[in-house]
Amino acid sequence: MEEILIGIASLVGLALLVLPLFSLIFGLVTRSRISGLAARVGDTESEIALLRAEVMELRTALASARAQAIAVGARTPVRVAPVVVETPPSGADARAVEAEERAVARSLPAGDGTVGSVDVLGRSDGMLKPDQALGGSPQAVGAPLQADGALLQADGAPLQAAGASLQADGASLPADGAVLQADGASSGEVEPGLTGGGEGGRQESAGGATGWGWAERQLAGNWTGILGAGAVVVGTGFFGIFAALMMPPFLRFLLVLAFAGVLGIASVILGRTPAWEALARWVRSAAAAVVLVACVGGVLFTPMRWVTSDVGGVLLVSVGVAVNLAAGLLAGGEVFAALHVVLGLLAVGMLPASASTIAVAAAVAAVGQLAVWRQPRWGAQLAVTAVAFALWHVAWLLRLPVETTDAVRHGLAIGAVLLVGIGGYVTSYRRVLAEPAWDEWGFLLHLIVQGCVAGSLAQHDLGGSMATVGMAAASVGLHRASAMARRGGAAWLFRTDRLVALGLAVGAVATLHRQDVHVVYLLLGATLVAVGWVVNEARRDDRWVLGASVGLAHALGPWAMAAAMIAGSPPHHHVAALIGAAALVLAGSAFAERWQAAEREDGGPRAWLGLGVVAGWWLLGADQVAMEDLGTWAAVVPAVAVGVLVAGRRPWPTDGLEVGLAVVLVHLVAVGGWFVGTEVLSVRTHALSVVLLGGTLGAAAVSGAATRLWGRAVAGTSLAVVLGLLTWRYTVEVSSFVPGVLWVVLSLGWLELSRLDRLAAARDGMRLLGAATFVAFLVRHGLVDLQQELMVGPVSVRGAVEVYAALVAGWWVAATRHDPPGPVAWSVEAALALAALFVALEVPPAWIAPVLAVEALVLVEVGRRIAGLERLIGWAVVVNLAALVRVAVLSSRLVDPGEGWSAWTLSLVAMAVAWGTFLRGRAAAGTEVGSAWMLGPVVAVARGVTRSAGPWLLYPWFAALAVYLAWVFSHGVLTLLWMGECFGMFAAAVWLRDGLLRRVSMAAIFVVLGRLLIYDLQSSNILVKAMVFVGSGGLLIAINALYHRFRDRFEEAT
Amino acid sequence: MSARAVGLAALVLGGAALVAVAARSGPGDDRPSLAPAWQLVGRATQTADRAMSQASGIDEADEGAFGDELVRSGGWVRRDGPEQELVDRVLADLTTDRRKPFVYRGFVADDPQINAFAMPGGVIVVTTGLLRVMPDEAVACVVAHEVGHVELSHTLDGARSQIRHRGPLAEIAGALHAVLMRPVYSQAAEAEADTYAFAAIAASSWDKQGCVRAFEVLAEGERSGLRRELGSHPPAALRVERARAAVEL
Repeated sequence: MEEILIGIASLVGLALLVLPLFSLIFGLVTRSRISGLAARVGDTESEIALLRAEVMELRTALASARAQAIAVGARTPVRVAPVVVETPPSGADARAVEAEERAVARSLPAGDGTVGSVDVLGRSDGMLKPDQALGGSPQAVGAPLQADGALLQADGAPLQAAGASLQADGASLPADGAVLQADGASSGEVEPGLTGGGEGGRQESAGGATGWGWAERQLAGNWTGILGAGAVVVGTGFFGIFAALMMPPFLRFLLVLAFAGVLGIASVILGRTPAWEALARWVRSAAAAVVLVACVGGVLFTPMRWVTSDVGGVLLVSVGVAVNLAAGLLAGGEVFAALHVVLGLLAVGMLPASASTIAVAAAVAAVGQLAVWRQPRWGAQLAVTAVAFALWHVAWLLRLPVETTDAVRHGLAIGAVLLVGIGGYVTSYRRVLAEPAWDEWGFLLHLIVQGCVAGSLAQHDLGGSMATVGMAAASVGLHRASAMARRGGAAWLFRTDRLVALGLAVGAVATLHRQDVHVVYLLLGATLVAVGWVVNEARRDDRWVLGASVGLAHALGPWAMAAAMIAGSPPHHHVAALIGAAALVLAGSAFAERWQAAEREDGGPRAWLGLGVVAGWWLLGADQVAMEDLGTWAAVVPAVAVGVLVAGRRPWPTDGLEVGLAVVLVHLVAVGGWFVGTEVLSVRTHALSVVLLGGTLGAAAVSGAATRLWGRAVAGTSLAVVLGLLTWRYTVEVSSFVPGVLWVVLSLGWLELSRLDRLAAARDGMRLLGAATFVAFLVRHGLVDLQQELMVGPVSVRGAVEVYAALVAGWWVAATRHDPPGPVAWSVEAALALAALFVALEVPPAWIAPVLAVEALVLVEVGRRIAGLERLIGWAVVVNLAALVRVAVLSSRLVDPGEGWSAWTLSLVAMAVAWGTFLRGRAAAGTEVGSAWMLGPVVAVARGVTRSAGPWLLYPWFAALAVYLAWVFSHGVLTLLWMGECFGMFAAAVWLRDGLLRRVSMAAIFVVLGRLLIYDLQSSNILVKAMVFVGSGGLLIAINALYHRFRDRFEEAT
Repeated sequence: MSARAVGLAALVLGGAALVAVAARSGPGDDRPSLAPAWQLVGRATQTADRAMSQASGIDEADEGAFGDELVRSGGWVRRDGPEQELVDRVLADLTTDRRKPFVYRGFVADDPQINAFAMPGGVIVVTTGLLRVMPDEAVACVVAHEVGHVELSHTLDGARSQIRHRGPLAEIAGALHAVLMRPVYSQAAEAEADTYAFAAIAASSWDKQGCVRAFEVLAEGERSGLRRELGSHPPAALRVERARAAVEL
């Protein structure tokens, strides 16, 4: 009983879905010829007036040209950019336009090739044809001849406009308003639109807007109501349609086929009329789709099922797919082809997974790729085919019966994947090599094809070393293919494939983990592969590939070393770490050499930087090794080697800084001696303190002799360091928090000193020292304070320190917010980081989301009101997103055995506050956002909010709500909830006059409708199903009502 | 006096007051540790991991069935004796407010190691080694910690993650994830379970000092150095600190 109901409801639902889809697409495609023009009938008057003005201008321009040409007596032909004039079929306006054209034609001398003239074309079938143009030959001299914004310029040289083709559709044109447009394709030397280019562009743009508007009017104005009513009917009448199912399945199958036949005949009839060709194609396409539905239904849909054997089912569906594919490919359009490939795969995918279905699916995809072979511009078709087959393949694997043999599950499937994948890859290569220049779409397409093949093959776990061998082989294959791309001149393709090959090679090593290879060796092996790539690529010019290889080596090498350290006992792990480190030095060296060779001017420092990082890691690794097993010499030898390697490259670029470095070294030695063996504050400690302070002053004197600037810098830095160390040494035993707090106070001291007039010369330096002291506090806080859980009564000392430091950072902000952009201005970010720490560590988990939401609200308000802090609006977006993610992902999981407020309730609070943040973000519109040092992205976000708050603050809100609903509520009622959210989005869009949000909401409605028809129809609980249908239908009707009530706002927003 | 001077004086005095407050809290541990920052990083990866795992479509009902299968295939059987009774009693006390739709089951494993662990479906296992060295209230805290893993869906996320990491490429991603991120994630999860345990014990009749004692026992055999910092669990000393703070609340 229920299956029957579901079947009927499915049919009704599919009809509900297919009809508006069909209607929308059909309307979009034919709008320029039929519906779009029909919608413009109301604008005919103004269009005709515009046309009249254009023609008048044209006439003036041409008359002027004629006059000049006659005056000069030249024989140079003049060509005027073609103009297409479409006017209503009848009426005084159309006749007036035609009369104007004739007047223009009459005003010009007949073109005989000897006298300067511009001819208006004769007409045929209501259209003026370019090939009927007669060559006029005026030679214009002097001032440019301007008409409708386009410039026709002649200064003695022959003035040519290709194919003078003032086309006038005249009185016999369709009644669709006047459209004046330029035919750029035939405009030759003259800029498109000598007379109508600007207008043509304008009309195109308006046409685009009309397309959106039309689709929206259809969906919001009509189909929401229709579908809503339909859904309500389906929901409430769920039990009343049983009688319609009395017909035997085979008759139902024939009935559907007959319907397809009717559509096919209609398409033939429509196709005879040129104006209806597009419609005929869609009708033919629909007929083929209906045939496919009939065939699939004949196998799978209970009300239509008449084939029961597996073989018969595959054959029947294959027939349907063949008809479907043929219709799609014969239609001649990419959209049709892609659509029918997807439909074909969907149909095959509905059959029980088996060897025959994957064979048929591969054939469908191969046919789809063949179409691209014939039409190389069909990139989207290739992408759709690749993605559709990859998804199909995953679904096939998931649905494959357990008892399926490995030969089918893996052997046949891999063969199919390789067939489709290699086909797609070759097609993609052929496409690129035909036009090797960089093409974003081509790049994306290539990645899509590769990703689909890789993703499909990855599903076949053959065990053993097959994956390793396969990935290695693929890597080698891609490596060779990239060489072909290089020879073909497609540098980007070479780069893409070479990088993917690198990834595959590293991946091949990673798969060895299934052979129980220790992770240390996995990482080491991957590092060595990357290093090998570096050595190989260093000989070439492509710095992207080289840079990526070096980057990968640097990324993996440290992990190899770190893993070796963590792994512990076996000494060979440490040896492996050393080998990895040496490989890194080799990679860095090759990179440096290559980079310096390519950019001798500025390559050095960057190369040194890379080498320095490597050397640092090596020393770290060596140090660990030395401490563990191999003795101190192991640290010394690589250190000397790195030193020789680095020093041998070029002289030290210190510019006198070595003095300062030497001073720092002395300090370090002194401080080291200061602490060794001094567990308590002894006389020795105090004496060393005095020595240290004295040494600081002496160092300042020595370094100050070099340059004044360096002297101040070294002295100030030394003093800051010594003060910080002394503070720590004398207070840490009181409490581990105290040094940090005192460092914050010290930073405040540096700031206030910098504000003294008599120290104005050292102002920037002091602020930097203060900022550095604050950074030292932050580092200490992260490493030491965070682990302290000390409480004084109910107060967390750690939290109190964070609040205090944030207040001092705020003081910094107030004092420096008008400074030029620089690192000191990051005090804002320091305060934010402390706030984030406080929230993360001190706030109960369930409260984090609302607290973050409130923080975002405050940030928006502060950024909006205080000059110099506008970037806080950008940070507000980040914090708000964190709150929303917290609500969406985590809140539903929070459990607290002693909880008062539930996470659910607090999530709602957070959502309410986030809505308020959006409202305040709207109020920030027009705020000028100042720049900030190295914070370009944040500033850009803030500027984005001031331009339009919706995409930054409101859209994430709706996204979070959707996810929250999905993870908190039962999936049975999710469609209803989501439809309610769609209604909310739609209402918000109307309220805010936000066109984009409205379109997003319409798209969301479409998606939810799909869920209603695909998911909810299959749900088992008929009562829930009825409720969801009725509720969703009611909401759709409400949306429809809202649309009609506030239609004027839609026009404004669009 | 200008507003700036007042503000500055307030900040300096505030700093002095804070120093006084900090001094009252005692010296604390001045050894630097990466673990807390590591855990904070872990929260982000945990969120991403959880979001991905939730897309697997496995829900808590499946988790319950999974637990049944684990018990069956693992051969876990209830033992007679006071150790089993203790585990049962603790579980009964601590799961009265459970949110998961299945019944918790406790088992005692004959293993000299000091260990306890949770599996999907509310399966809690405590070793005899742990039961011998810890007093009852400490055992209660350990069990509360393991219940926290289940209630907070760490075990479910783990099962989902395993399922998500099927297939060669996914396995590679899983292996890299395990090497690079798992310790971070794990420390965050362990800290989360600790917090749950503190709250659960506080809401029960068990002695809150049990958590301090439990982590003190665990601290005795802890490794040192980088392995301590980046291990799967937060350093025991840090956990002792947190337990003490929870007791004082």
